[in-house]
Amino acid sequence: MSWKRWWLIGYSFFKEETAFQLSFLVSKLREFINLIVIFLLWYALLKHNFHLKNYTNQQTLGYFLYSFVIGQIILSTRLWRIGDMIISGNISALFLYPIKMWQLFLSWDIAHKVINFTISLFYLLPFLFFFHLTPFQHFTLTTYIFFILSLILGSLTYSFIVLIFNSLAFYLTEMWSVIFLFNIFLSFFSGQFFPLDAVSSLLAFSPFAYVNFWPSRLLARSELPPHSILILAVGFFWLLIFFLTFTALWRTGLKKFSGWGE
Amino acid sequence: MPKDKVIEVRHLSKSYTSRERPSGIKGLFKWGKKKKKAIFNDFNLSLDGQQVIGLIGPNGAGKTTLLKLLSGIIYPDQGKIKVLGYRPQKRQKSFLRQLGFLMGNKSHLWWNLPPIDSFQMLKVIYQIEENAFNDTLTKFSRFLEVDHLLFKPVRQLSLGERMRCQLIAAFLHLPKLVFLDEPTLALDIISQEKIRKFICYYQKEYQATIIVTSHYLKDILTTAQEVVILNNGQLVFQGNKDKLVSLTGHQREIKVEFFSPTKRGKLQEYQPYLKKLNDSQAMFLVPKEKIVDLTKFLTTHFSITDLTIKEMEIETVIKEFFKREP
Repeated sequence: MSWKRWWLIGYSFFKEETAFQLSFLVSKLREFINLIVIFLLWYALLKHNFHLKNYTNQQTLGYFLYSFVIGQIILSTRLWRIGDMIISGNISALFLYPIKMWQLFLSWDIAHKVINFTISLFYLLPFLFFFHLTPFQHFTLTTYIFFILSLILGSLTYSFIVLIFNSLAFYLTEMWSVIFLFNIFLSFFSGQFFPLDAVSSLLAFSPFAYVNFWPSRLLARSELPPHSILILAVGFFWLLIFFLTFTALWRTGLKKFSGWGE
Repeated sequence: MPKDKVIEVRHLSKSYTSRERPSGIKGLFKWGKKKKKAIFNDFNLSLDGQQVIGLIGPNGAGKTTLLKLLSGIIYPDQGKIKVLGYRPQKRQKSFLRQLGFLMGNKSHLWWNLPPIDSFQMLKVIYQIEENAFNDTLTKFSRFLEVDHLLFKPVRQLSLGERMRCQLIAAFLHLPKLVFLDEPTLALDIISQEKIRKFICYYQKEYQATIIVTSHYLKDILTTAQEVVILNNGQLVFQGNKDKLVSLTGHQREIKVEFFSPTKRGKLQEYQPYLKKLNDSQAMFLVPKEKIVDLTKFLTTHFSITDLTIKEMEIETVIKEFFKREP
């Protein structure tokens, strides 16, 4: 199926997402206020001689800002709805479509990311202007390549983590309890609360670091990390592990699926 | 026109496992016992194509499970299934393109968008040519009288309107084989009639095979040529609709509520037709030609507070069927 067709599927999803315009806008406003609160909190801390290891004050501020925008790309996903669809049996309708399921999921996901990323740019611009932040200032071709690869790696890693958790719905009806715990764990170890390398370099090699930390770090510090090839290689290794785990869980899950709810 | 075998099921077994928890506070602290229920055990079925087939049976007989197995949504525990020459669980694109499935509350329509958006997406998914899509959509939406509703969000449509739009979604890619699971459930008489007409029209126009499950005998009698009856996962009847009609279809159910409790003896004249009598309520199964006589008899000899005449329910048909064909 051509990409134009996938674009149309994504576009239908976009229309569904924005069917309630007011709710959509207010949810975005809530995110913006959230960002202001976090940013001003760190701004206040840094004003009072608080410093993070390996980061200048400007880089720290930049890190949190970019981490938010990166989150809008990588962490924004509608794949979480798949678990509920499995439990309610509504996924049956998708099983009947003559398309590959992962392609359908991917087109939804890309549509969702595009919406969120575009809007987050509007959040970003005033901050960049008022705090004189310049994310791509010292970027070379290699840095750009690393940045794009880390973004793709992060998106795919997170998507497969989400898919793994949603596949649990084939086995557990109470999979949300596991997911809630995981989300707390993820927000901590993906570097949303602090740059991981300011605490321990070991944390930076966990699979969750790829979900937020590496691309945010690159934008904040505008320099390639040492051992960048190794970082990418480890990232792809984790991705492969997650992909294989998801495939195994999904395939076995399909055989257990009973399509309740009718 | 020669008919091909479109469905072949051999030695099929399927069971479900569920947990049953006690109700109330006790249930909060228990996982519940695992319970396995066999739906099919060594089940065989072979169906010819290019006709409407009525699949009937009481609740829990395995009708919906069978359709899910035939469409590849769920996997059998054992046995072989071939549909249109494919193994459905492989979910090959060429198979899925020929299949349509209307599932009661599993909608193909996006809840917050107008039906036209869902149809556009199905056009893309099924790779339907623009002209063919427009022609089919116009034809079907006019037939089902929903052409004025295509741009109204699905959530604002009535149940009947929604079901008719869902029907379009299931047929839009002109499938060769269609499964309709309770397409008229809880709909008003007008919507039921439109859906029945559409099923007959589509089958004739496109020489398709349509399998319909329904709780309304009228759905089956007006649309199907062949009938399959399931009971407890067993095939209890498969054959021409006329055979079922000759056994049961010309009868009607008459329910009467008497002013005061009535004894069986008083109804002696119509004893062979009396199926139930509880104090002041009675139920008769009578041939059509006896309806007038019976109602006259009842209204003349008894004080009656309520009287209803309706078609036999599927459950009654099956009971009667078993009595006559043990």
